[in-house]
Amino acid sequence: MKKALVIVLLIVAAVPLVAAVAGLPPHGSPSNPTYTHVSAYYLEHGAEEAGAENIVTDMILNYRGFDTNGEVTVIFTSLAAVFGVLLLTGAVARKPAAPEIPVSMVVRFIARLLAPFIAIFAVYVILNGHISPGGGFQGGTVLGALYITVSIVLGRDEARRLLPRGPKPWLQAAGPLTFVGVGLLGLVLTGYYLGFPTTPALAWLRTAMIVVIEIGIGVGGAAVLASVYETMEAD
Amino acid sequence: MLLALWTNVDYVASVVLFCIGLYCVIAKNNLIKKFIGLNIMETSVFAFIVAMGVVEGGTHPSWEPAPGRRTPTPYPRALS
Amino acid sequence: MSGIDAVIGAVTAVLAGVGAFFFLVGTLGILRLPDFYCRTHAATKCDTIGAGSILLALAIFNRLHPESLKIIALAALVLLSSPTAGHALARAAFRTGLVPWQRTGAKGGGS
Repeated sequence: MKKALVIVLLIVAAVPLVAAVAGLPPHGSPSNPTYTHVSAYYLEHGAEEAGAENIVTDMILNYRGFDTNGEVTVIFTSLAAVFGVLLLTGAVARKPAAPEIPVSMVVRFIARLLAPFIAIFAVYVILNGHISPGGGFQGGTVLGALYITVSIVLGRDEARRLLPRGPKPWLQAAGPLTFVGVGLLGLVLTGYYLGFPTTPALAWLRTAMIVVIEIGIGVGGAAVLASVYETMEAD
Repeated sequence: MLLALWTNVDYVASVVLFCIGLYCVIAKNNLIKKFIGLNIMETSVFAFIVAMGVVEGGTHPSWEPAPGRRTPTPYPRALS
Repeated sequence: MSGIDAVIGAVTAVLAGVGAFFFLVGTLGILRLPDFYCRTHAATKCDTIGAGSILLALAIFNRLHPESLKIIALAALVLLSSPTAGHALARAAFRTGLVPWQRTGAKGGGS
């Protein structure tokens, strides 16, 4: 009975989808509507106009800057939500001393061996986001994962030194803060929030603004990831 | 109809993937398997979005300028 | 020149085929093997050898190009990190008292 119901449901879902797919313009043809309108403009003018050679970065940080600004704020808000939920249930305050299983020698050695390379790779991904695939979100994730690895392998106290108490809130808010800062700089220069100067003489400034935003997103994302893990681990 | 499906076989593949994920979500009782099914559905949507940006013989949009580059628009769409 | 092309193509195809085979076997192992330890073993093997040989195939396919250096670094990373992850998983499971599966006698562990 249940099986028949599932099959019927699947067919109900699949038939309209397949019909819609059959009606789409042919796959891969250069005259597709996805390719001819706004994308063609981006491909043609993006590299000169927006400040980054990587067109995807151009779109994320320049043409669609508002959206990414909101997205960065969402990441920061998720951290606030985690804090809120755990504080309401009182999990952060308890801090139980869980009996720790000692980390094996192999894991410790490999983590110590790879950690510097992972850190360099994260910085490379963040700083190269305007030239090659990559950028703040991806590099920040790598940095956060590195923090989590260090925290598991070398212990909580060792990891906590990487994220000291004083600058911690500023690092967690780095994404929105740098975004708003660059946006206000754009407001001063062009009269629009997040406006990038369009004159050819200021091309270096456009690139610099994009790189600054990337660094902010990377640091902020890493700090948020690290502190979400830290808070949940204390639970 | 069949010819149209054959030219759009990439989209059909993502539809099949979507249906597999839907099956996992509906039919499995294990919550982790349901979650994996949800993830498969999400991935199928990404595959569909990326397949829309493909141009025959195109290269990645962020590399050196060439006449036939793929559409950059799907990638940020997949990000959000 | 075309001879070198053929050799490179053949080596790439063979390595990629080996990688695909190991991925298939690893997936089958995750689905079919009886308990956690066996499944970890299958997953680690498929990650290490499958991804390693596919990356090696890509590096050879790119010849002497900066990209292939990057790909080889990636393969080295996979070779180092994947067995470590498998080791850590199995060790954690063993330390928390998961009993390995045995064919005879009472069935312990399992998923």
